[in-house]
Amino acid sequence: MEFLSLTLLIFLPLVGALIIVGPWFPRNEVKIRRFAKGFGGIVFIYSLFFLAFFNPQEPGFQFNETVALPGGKPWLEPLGVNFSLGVDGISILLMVLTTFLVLLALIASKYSITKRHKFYYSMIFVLQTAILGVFAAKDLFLFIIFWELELIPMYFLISVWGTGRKEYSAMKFILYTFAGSVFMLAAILAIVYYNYLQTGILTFDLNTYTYMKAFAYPTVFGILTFLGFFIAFAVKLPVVPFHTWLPDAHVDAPTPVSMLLAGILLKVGGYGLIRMNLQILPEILKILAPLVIILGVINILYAAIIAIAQKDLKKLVAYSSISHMGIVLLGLGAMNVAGVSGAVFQMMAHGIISAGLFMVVGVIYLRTHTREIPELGGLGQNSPKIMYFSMIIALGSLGLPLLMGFAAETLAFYGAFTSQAFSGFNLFNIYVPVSIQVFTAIAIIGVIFTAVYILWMFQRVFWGNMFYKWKKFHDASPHEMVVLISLIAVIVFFGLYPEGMTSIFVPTLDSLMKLI
Amino acid sequence: MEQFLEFFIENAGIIAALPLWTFLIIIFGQNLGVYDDKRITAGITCTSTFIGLIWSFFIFLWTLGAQEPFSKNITWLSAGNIELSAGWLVDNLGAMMLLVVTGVSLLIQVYSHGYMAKDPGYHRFFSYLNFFNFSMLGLVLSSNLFQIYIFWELVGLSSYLLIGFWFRRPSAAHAATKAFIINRIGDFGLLVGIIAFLFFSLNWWIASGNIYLSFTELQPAAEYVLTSAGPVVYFLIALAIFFGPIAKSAQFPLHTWLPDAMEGPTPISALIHAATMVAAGVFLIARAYPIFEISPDIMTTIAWIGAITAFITATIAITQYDLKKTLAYSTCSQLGFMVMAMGAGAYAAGLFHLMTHAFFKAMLFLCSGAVIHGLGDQQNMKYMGGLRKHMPVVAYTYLTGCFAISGILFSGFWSKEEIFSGLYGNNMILLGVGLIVALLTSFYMFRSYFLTFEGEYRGHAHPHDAPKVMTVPLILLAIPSTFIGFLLSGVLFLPSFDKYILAGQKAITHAEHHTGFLLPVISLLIALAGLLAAAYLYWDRFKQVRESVKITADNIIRITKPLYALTTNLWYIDKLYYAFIDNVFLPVCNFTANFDKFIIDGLVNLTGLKIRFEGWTLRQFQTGQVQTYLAILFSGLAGLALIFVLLQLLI
Amino acid sequence: MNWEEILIKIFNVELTHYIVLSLILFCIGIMGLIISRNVIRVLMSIEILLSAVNVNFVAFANYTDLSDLKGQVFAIFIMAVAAAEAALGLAILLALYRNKPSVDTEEYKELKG
Repeated sequence: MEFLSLTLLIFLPLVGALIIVGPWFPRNEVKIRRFAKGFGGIVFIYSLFFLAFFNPQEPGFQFNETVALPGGKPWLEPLGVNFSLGVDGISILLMVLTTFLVLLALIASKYSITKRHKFYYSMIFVLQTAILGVFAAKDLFLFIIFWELELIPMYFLISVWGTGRKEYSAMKFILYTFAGSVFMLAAILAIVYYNYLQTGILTFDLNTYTYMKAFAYPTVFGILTFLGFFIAFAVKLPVVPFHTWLPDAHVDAPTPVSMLLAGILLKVGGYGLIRMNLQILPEILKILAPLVIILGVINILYAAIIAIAQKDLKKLVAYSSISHMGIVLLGLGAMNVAGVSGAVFQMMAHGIISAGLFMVVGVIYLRTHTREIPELGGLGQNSPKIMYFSMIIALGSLGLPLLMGFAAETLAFYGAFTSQAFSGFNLFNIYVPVSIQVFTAIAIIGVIFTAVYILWMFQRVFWGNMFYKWKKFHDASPHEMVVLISLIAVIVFFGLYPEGMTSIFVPTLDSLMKLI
Repeated sequence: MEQFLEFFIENAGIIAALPLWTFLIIIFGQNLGVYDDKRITAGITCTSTFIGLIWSFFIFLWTLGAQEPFSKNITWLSAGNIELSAGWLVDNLGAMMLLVVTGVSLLIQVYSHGYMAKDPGYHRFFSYLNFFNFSMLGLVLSSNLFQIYIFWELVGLSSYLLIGFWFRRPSAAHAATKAFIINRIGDFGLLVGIIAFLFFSLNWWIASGNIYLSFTELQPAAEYVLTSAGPVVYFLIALAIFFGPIAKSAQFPLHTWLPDAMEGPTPISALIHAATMVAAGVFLIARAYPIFEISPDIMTTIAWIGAITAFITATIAITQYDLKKTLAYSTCSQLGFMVMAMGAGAYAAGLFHLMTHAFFKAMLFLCSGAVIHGLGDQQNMKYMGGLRKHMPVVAYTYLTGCFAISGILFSGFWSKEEIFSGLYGNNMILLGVGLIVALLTSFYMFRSYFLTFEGEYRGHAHPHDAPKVMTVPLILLAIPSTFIGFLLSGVLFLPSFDKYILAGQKAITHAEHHTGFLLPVISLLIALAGLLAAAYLYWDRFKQVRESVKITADNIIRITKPLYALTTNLWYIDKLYYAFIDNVFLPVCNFTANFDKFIIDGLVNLTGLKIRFEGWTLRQFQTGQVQTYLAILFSGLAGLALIFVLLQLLI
Repeated sequence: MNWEEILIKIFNVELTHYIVLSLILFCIGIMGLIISRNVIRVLMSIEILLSAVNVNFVAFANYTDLSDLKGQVFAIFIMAVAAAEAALGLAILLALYRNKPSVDTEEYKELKG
């Protein structure tokens, strides 16, 4: 157990980035890629050890460690900031998802990235460090530092290697996230200062603030803080109407970056919602559950309806991402173990499935140089492998049973429906007797819309007559096969055996919910 | 002997697992290049199904002596208060369905070996077939409502794959997507229904400690829900659950996918879209019967939905010229019959009809497949005729099927008669509808027979007989089609189907039976009337008579023009849907997309634009001319000084 | 009042006089800086500004701090810096003039970032 150090795990990718970017490393593209893949693999395997030694039954954080300055002083003593890390059942899964997807993204970079290789691979590793840091941070200050850190590599990854209006999209992404995180910073400072006023201790430690029940805070203060957190995560998740950065960023980013963007970066938002809004301010979440549920329903249906109308393949997938993240909100608003488990499961499932969908789009784009659905068609004739892999991933996305998405949707829907969160709410002082059950039933209509856009897209892209110009459309190359097959293996495995995943995070959530 | 049978019950899941293994063997065997022989694929497929059939037979033997259904479960997913299980449940109903599914599957797999012999996608076809068998058997063996939902969607998927088997054809691709989406609408209802049911009965399940949503405990749970939710909400829940069968069993108003599903290869039409999968809806109604039973309103709704479907699709079938489409609409109609019987409380009769229908409808489809195969993919009956001389076996088996489905002494007679007597005790209007549909059924089936097999050949291809591998399954299917109704009707010394199926079901109310001779005779006479009408209008032997009396099919069509247009246009239901999609749904989607793009994103960009404008305004002062800055700086200084001085003076 | 007294009266220069002188010089310099478009004139105005500062320095040093020579030293420093500045400014101007035969500041607008 001693060799498992979260600090090492987090900064290992950064070391990789430094090795690659340094002048001592050869400029040869192949060597850079091989090294990056190898290094990504090492990080992935190292993170698997954490999973192996993780004890799900033990509540609270594990692998705790606090890095102190020489002399035993905390990291930023005057502010009461500690460099303390730790993982629980939720974050360990997301960390492994991160290392897994980064590895796959590195493999998928072969054809999509054609310039400035050193810079690219080092940026991916910096991104990995930032995201791992967000998931492992046990200190609010550290959390926000890593949160902001991930913007820098993302900006370059979109604006340098992207296509189309890439600078615009990258800037939009940055501004959106940044605007959101300002609110989060304000919220964090508010609760820290409030705690300081009450107890006289200045600390950013997450455990201190878990279930701020110890002292009765005024409801208005709580709601404002809650909204501060919520806006930051709503931008990231994204929640309608803060979602418009996502289609642009996804469409203009190169394939591997889209995979990471959809696969991990959106999860940071969902993770934050659970970590901050649910864990710190559960009382407020109980009050605002109708809002969260309504936003979730809007997310699911609104994005799905837009996805139906999309002509651009990547935009369609991007909107499907938004629609699927609505389920996270729905599960979160349910405020029971099943619902929140559904939210966590959906984050994992969507991480894998949307990465797969973006990979498929990338594979098609590489061969056709178009993403317009009407221009494609009949692609299944020459490339049965791509067609079947895409089919499995697409079916996973529409929530077919025995694939990963189904277990997630089932948990979220069952959780939301059996929830007692609210049976009505006040809207401008008028009592609206619409219970969470009704909203869930409406949200399930999304199941139909998802089927419509996924199957219609699939039919138009892979089935039917083939245009003559795609005669030379060739089947999946080995490295694409590796990426797709590994994603599909995960989708199928956890679809057949969801207990394998729930058994890791459900005990954590159980202990979390008991305190609420 | 007991312990020997116990083994099969304990491991009943193997029946469903066998096709899954075969599926994986074919997939990996093909893609990794292990083998390339079609006979190996067909061999392992048929062997696994055959083992399944034997296994089902032993299970059937077990159920004859068993008092309690057997069920075995594992937890599939649990979180908080939700615990969902998967496993298998063996009872009389399940055993019956197992036998039907494996039996029909086996024959159709043999048939497919001949039918698909020249198709390049042979292995793909068989792997799909196995996947379908896995899902269907899983559905039959499901032990609870949640598990049945899983397999419910999986059979939908296999149907999607098989309809889209020839995915290069745009029509096939379209039909597959349509089938899946319409089934998804039903799944939506089913899911909402199941979850709502679970929500209202959650405390009951927790208190009783049973497997959640288990079929064996459905009745007390349903009563609990009825008392806790009230009759109106209960009706809505049951209606939502009934949505599943509406879509899967192609009931009005979601029946339009089934005729389009005939784009798939004919063995698929026989297996999935006639004999087994579409019957899953009826099966679900039977499984969840305790839920429907205690609410008379939902029972009435079910019965009427069935009646409407039976009537509408029967009228459409009359005017169809596509052989397979005729059969497809006939399937819809017969399914409507079964649903109607279920809704009217004739539980056993509906299932009895399900079983007999599975045999003869599969056979009819396989006959049509043989005809289409023999004519080089010609499906239009206008270009057929006189095929009895070219393919006698097919013709005679088809004729058997016609007799069976029309209810003239062969097996369909016995099951239909039971439905009629069930309706007689329940609702006379429904009985009237049923009899009209029986008349129509007999008419269109014999019409298709006469158009296809009698008279002169009107096509251009050279008809050739079907190979043995295709005719043998036909003959084997003709046997149960002829006799099974009679054998199991309870007239003979053999155990009656009703008694068997109702044996384990304590709760289900027995429909009243008036086993007088009046009703069977009437139904028989009606069927014969249909036969005679069809013969008169379409059999060449009556050509002379027809022309002398001037009452021919064409004349009738001319007289009943609006009605004819109504049925040829499929009652405008499909057109209505497409009009809705084109004129309402897609515009709404496009509008929303544009709203998102221009209004929401526009607002965001407007914010950016506003800030840029402010920046521009401020930039005007930033000329880069030091002198301007100096001027501003010093005038400001002078101004300040002036204010200072003035202040000094004032104070 | 004899002539000596008158002389004393005339030449009895107080600190205020120096400050007023410095102010006048400063205002002239600022005015020149603001209104002139000719770069040479701008440079000259800057020199005037600096002399205004020098006057202030020396005057204050003279009236407040006779033992040290801090103010005078500063003035000399400023003169040196002014000389250097003038030299640099003129050199830059020459370089610019080679590209564009003009000494008008408006003409060099494109140099701004």
